[in-house]
Formats: sequence, structure tokens, C-alpha cells
Amino acid sequence: MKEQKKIPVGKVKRAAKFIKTGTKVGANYAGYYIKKTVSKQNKEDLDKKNAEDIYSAFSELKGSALKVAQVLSMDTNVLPKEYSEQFALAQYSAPPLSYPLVKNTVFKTVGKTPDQLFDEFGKSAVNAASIGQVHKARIGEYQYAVKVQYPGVAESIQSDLKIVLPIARRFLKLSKKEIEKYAKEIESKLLEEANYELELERSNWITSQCADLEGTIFPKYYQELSSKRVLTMDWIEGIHLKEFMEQKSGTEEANLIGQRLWDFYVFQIQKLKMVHADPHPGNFLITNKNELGVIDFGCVKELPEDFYRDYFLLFEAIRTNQMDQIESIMERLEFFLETDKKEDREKVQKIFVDLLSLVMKPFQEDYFDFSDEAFFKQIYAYGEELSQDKEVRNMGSARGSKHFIYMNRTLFGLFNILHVLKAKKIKTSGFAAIIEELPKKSA
Amino acid sequence: MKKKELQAKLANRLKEYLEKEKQLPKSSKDLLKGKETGKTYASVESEPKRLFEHIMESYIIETLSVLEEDENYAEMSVREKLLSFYFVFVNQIKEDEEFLKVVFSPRQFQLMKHVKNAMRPPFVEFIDQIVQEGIINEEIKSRMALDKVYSMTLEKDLIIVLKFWLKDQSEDKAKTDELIERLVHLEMNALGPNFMDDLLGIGKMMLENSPMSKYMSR
Repeated sequence: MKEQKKIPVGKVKRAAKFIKTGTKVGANYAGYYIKKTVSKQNKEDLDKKNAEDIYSAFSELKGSALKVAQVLSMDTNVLPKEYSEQFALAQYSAPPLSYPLVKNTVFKTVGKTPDQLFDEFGKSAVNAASIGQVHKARIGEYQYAVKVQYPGVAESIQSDLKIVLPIARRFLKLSKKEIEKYAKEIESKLLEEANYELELERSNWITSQCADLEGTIFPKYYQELSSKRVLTMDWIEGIHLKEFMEQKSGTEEANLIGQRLWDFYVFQIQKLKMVHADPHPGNFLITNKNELGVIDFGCVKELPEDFYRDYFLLFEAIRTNQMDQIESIMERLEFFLETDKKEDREKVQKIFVDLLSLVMKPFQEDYFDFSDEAFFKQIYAYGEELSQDKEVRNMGSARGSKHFIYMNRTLFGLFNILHVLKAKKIKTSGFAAIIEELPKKSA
Repeated sequence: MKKKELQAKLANRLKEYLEKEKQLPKSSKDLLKGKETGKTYASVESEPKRLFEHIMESYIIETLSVLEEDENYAEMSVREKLLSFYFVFVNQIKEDEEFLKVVFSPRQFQLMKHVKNAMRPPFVEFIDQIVQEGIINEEIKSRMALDKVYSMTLEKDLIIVLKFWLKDQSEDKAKTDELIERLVHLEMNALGPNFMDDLLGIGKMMLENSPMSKYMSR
């Protein structure tokens, strides 16, 4: 990657298009769980100058704050659209680290300089992410991808959150207590993401478990060439999923990659209860044999057994229309508040049953057409409708288990990728098997 | 024992003394061990003040010698040379953190001033070379009279980095790495060709085309 001073406009526009589609569909829905709905009037009331101040505060921050801003600003209802897009894209514009700093980081944390560790080490990064950048290296005939973390990221997380959360709270109109449980979840995920030793351990475990998945490949990770801030893995030759989408969207090949993505995610959720929770196109490569290469396990969500069971039991109860079941599961999933009146509970129940009926649609059919605009428009329209609903607004409070944040991010991220791929025929059957294999309730 | 070795030995004694006692020795006698007498070190300047100079100067000299040994150093850009200098420098001083904390404590104002001056000559020489090289390869823009202040600007960064490093509580002092990266980019972006040159160009043009210009040519 050339060390760039400016963002190439074409690249940004393409990425913006993808992210915009993604955030609109997924986050409007996901965001509902974690915020009071901001009314149209409120939105108009937002002082433009304040918004600009907040944007400039956010844009001064990198790494963790940027990630938080990205998670919290996913909902385009919360911040002006342009700002949300800026945050979503910001990871593409993080300035690359200089080679002396890369060399210093490798030396300080691995114990040797890149020149001592490798026969060849690319001085310029070939790829950048929000908290690190990737260099290509070689020993003999083997090629490696070396991910080097930006300095100070781990240390900044807590202090950055202290800056970002009060601002976010003001926008979301949540109390400190309400936002706390979600904030803690985000913070713990960010801290994990900044720990490359943990990433190495998890990558090795997940990849060993997924070894039999057809057409999906994983790099091998090298502990002796890695540290807390340096992660060395096999170099996978291929094009990024984003590029693949631009070239092959709507083709048979795109459908095949879509199927591999679906199988990879369902396998992790169902069998491992641990899922790669960052389905961002930058985290996947496509080889010339149309294999799906998974290259980043920074953000992994472990699904607690109780949550996993209730999540799918809720789907099943909705599918079979068992109202009593629905209510008790929703209770366990923290949808109801002690202060809710009977009519509040009924309203909340109706909203989520309607929404989840939409979300579970792909799981219920043998094959699902993710190119279907109507399906995505339906979800989006429902989110919009909710934000206009006066009763819902008056009821407003943070609802739902903290585990929803990353579970939803995963599912909607996946749905969006499949939508952009225009994957028409994804074999999604397997819901019955998930229900059949649900773990029994713990005592 | 050669003079240099004696000086180095005594300098190490001084570091040990400061780390242990957290204060300056009253006289160089405090640094003697066992049967040693002042005569043992008679061939070296054993005034603590001179020893401080020696220690501080050696950080710079050793940093530069590590850089010279790096086969890639000669091919680096000026920006990279500056970055490399600071990364190697903080690596050189890492063993002496406790010692430097005493030297740079607010109570030792006079000493701090003195050691800053001790680091100057070799560092300024390095910076002057860097500026010249930058002007030749056009990484740094020559702005006539302003060229003289370039070295002075860059010179201040050494103490900024050193003081920040002493207070840095982050793991592996990663925040200092971040500071170095930001500081060097800031300086190089300011010294390199930038919008200021366009601004000066426009200013000059406006002036030349104003009624004032006739007075200017006289």
C-alpha cells in the first residue's frame, strides 16, 4: 500500500456504498435494542453546531474511539448521515505507520528486527485496518502477512471510551446506567481486539475446528514471529472480498462464495458457540480457486449457552406462534423492564415478534434469495416506522441482553455481504437441526 | 585502565548512586568503593557535573553509532532518519530510567539545564546534517532566512521526547512511540513544502503589485 496522504475518492465511494447499505438495514434494527428511539423532531432539534463539534472530536481520535464511534453511529438516525459515513470509512484513511516505527514495534515486542526475522520484509504496508496495518514478508519460499498494531491502541481504549460515551449518551438520551452494560461489552471486545496474543490463540482454535469446511481456508499463525502487538500468519494470495463484490456480484461464483460465508457462520454459531463477529469485507480474501480465505479473528464473540439457547428458542417460539413461550424467553433476554405496564409489555412483545419474524426468514427456508431488495427494504421500513411511533418513543429505554450487540452485528453483517454479492440461491436450511441440538437449560 | 574506561566506570557508579540514593552525591568521593581513593580516578575529570555531561553525551553518540551500523540507514529519507534516531535513542536510555528520573526531577532544575546543554553538541551536529540533507533532496523546503531556525526547532524535540518517555506509563512505553511518530510527521510536514509557501508566494505577489512596490524598489 502506498503511504497515502489522501483517500482515493473512487475507493471511498465504493466502500461508502457498501457500508451505507449495511448500516441502514442492519443498524436501524440492531440499534433499536440499545437506545431510545430518537424522534424526527428530536433529530431536527439537534443543534447542527453541536453535531459538528462532536464530529471534530471523534475525528481527532483513532483506533478504539473510532471503533466505538463506528459501533454507536451505525444508526444513521443518530448522527447526520454524512458523519456516520465518515466514521464507518475512517478505518480506510488511518495514516500508515512509518517503517522505523514498524521496525521498532517488532523489535520491542518480538525481540528481533524484521530484517533479523525475515529474509525480506516489505517496508510499506499492503493493507490498513482501524488498529493496525499489514506488511508482506518472506522466509525462503514462504510468504507471510505480518500485522503490526498502531502504538498506544490498547492504552487508549479506556480513556477514549470516557470521551466517546458521554457524547454518545447525550445523543442517544440514555442514562449512565442504561448505557453501561452495553459500553462494558464494547470495551471488553475492543480490549480483546487489541490483544494479538489472544487473537492468535483464538484463530488457531477456530481454524482447527473449521478445518473440514469445504472451500474455506485459514492462514496458519506463528507464535514465534508474533507478540501482543505483532501477528504473523501465512500470506494468502487472493483478492479482497470488496473487490470481488465489485467484479463478480450476481454471478454463480458470487453465489458460491456467499454459500461458503453462510456455512462458515452457521457452523461457528451452531457448533462452536464462538463467532467471528466482524463480517467486514476487508476480513476476507477470495483465491483464484474461489476459496474463501478468512484472515482476521480480532473480534470474536463467545455466545453464552443460555443466550444462544434463548435466542433460537425465541425464533422457534415465534415460528410456532407460542405466545406464552415468547413472553418468558423475552423476559430472560432482558427485553422487559420492571417499570413496564401490561400494555408496555404487549407493545414491546409485538414489536420484537414482528421484527424477529423478518430476521429469521432466511433461516426458515431451504434456499434464500439475498438479492431480494424487498426483504431488506421491509426490515429497513419497519425500523423507520418504529422510529416514528409515538408510543414506542414514550416507552423508550435500553432493552435487550448485551449479547445482542455483537450477535446482531454478525448476522446483519453477513446478510449485507450476501445482499451486496447478490447471492440468489443460498442453501439456508438447517434451522431444524439448530433447534434439535439446542443445549438443555442449565439448572 | 584507560581514561575513557575510567570515566565510564565512574559514570556507572554515579547512575547506581542516584538510583539508590535518589539524590546527587555531595562530592565525587561518595562514588568511591573499598580502598579506592581520589587518586584512582585522578586521570579523569571526576566532578559529578562532568560525569553527567559524559553520560548524557554518550546517549546521543551511541544512538548515532547504532544508526550508522544499520545498513539501511544511508538510504532512508530524512523523515525516516529522524524517526529512527528517536526510536533508537529511547532504546538506549531505557536501562537508565530511574537515573534519568532523578536528573529530570523538578528539584534538580540547575542540573537539568546542565545536562540538556551536554546533549546539545552531538545532537545539533546530527540535526544540522539532517536539515542540509533534507534541503538538498527537497524533503525540506529552503526558505532563505528561515533555514537558520530549522535546527533550533528540531532540537527542542529531543527534550520533549525524553520528558514524555519518563512519564509514559503505557505498556512498553508505546505512547512514546506514538508521540515520536506524530512529532516527526508534524515537524517534517511543517518544514517540507506546504501551503505556507503558497501563502508567502501570494503575499509577495500582492506586495509587488501594490502601490507600495515603487517604494520597495528604491
